[in-house]
Amino acid sequence: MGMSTMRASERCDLPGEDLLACADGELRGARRELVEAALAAEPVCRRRLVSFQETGRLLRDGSPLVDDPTGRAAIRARLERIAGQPSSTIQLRPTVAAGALPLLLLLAVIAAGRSSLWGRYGGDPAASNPPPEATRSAAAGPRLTSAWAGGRSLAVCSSPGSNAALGYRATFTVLGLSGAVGGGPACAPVRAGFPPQIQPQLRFPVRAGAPPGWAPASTGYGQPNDARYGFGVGPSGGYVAGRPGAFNRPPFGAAVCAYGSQPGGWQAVVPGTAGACS
Amino acid sequence: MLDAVDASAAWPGDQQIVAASRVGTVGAFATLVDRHHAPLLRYLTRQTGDAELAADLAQETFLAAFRSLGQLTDDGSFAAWLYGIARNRLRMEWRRRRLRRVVSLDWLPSGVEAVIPALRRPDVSRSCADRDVIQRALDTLSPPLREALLLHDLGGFGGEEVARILGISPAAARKRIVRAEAAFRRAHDAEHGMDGDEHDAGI
Repeated sequence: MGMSTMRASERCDLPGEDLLACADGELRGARRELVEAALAAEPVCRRRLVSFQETGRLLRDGSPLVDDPTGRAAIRARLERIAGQPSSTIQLRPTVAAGALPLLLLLAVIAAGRSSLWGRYGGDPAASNPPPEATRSAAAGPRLTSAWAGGRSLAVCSSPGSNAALGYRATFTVLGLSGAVGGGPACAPVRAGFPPQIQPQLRFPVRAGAPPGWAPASTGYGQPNDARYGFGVGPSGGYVAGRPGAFNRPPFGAAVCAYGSQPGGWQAVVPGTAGACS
Repeated sequence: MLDAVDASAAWPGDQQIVAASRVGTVGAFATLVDRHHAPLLRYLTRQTGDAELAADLAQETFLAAFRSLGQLTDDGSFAAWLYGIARNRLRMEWRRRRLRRVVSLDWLPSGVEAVIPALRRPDVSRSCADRDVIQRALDTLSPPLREALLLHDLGGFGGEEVARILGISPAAARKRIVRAEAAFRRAHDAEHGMDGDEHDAGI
């Protein structure tokens, strides 16, 4: 690769595939160390990495998620026809029902919890799922969408010492609860830290199978590929999130640091403003 | 400080829901539909440039997935598997449309389209000019490049998962994504009258 012969600010000799693997958190071992070292030394490589991420953001921002409850209902209706009976009356096979029961109970509990949590934030508590980003903007409650759409970089409010190109860490304090959302260095998975006061069910959903403490979210308000990190607390509580913008990927260009409940209503704490980002 | 917490413990992953779905509950599978429908729809809309077709394909994809849940290996990612099904459905649709295009309708008696207008409807649902800048840029990519880019950037899959969906090596998948990214940026910048070369300079 000839990284030793690279001259700063002229060109990036790292293969694009390595940068991509780095951005995806898929580089391992010595290769990862090599790429991270080159990224740290070469601004051109960092710009190239950022360019990958900007392309992704461009595509995502220009392709909003649109909820289609009618379409989902149609699918469900056809599923029930295929299954031959409505889901509410379906009979489980006895041999497997016992094993599946805990899972079904878990799903029921989660579904109830999600409706309850969403209701606190001004959504429709009767809905089986909160509306996705594209439809939340019109809903009463926290003004999430405008800040998400703002595309502000979480790196702006990263902790001292964080490197915007190589990773970030934002700490927050909302209503006395402190935590952190972060990622980095560049090739590492995203990590979200939550204070113990914030109960697991109030945290954002995360991808199963992630190592403990490392939480690439698979679902933020039910959207598997629009991952966010954060939590919500009670009706007058706070909301903190970092948005990696894509599934299982370091959150460069994260959009939001924190939301907090203010006397006048919900207020987003965004980079560059007075608030809880540090 | 980032505390180590098992934040995944509170939320059922796709695999858990798949396990529940396998015992026959539509309700459990509907959770997967709720979770994946909007992103899949977005991906298919960008793949086809046609929202109606995308909605139909999304529906077919979920139904096919429900019917063949037994084929999903326990360690497989449901999302990657689902997008693989969507990919097959899309390819079938393209094949069907290509076939339809080669079947001439000239033998139809004149005036029949007034009775059955769909017979004369063009295959392409919208003209190029109606499409937004991003779609126009995507349309310039070859199908393999577009597919790889959209799986990565809209589907949210890493290079290894894209490789699994496409049935190629991770290295080949990453190469394809990188090429697609560069081509997309050039096309997108050209739409804006920008000089796309600046993105490649020194890289």
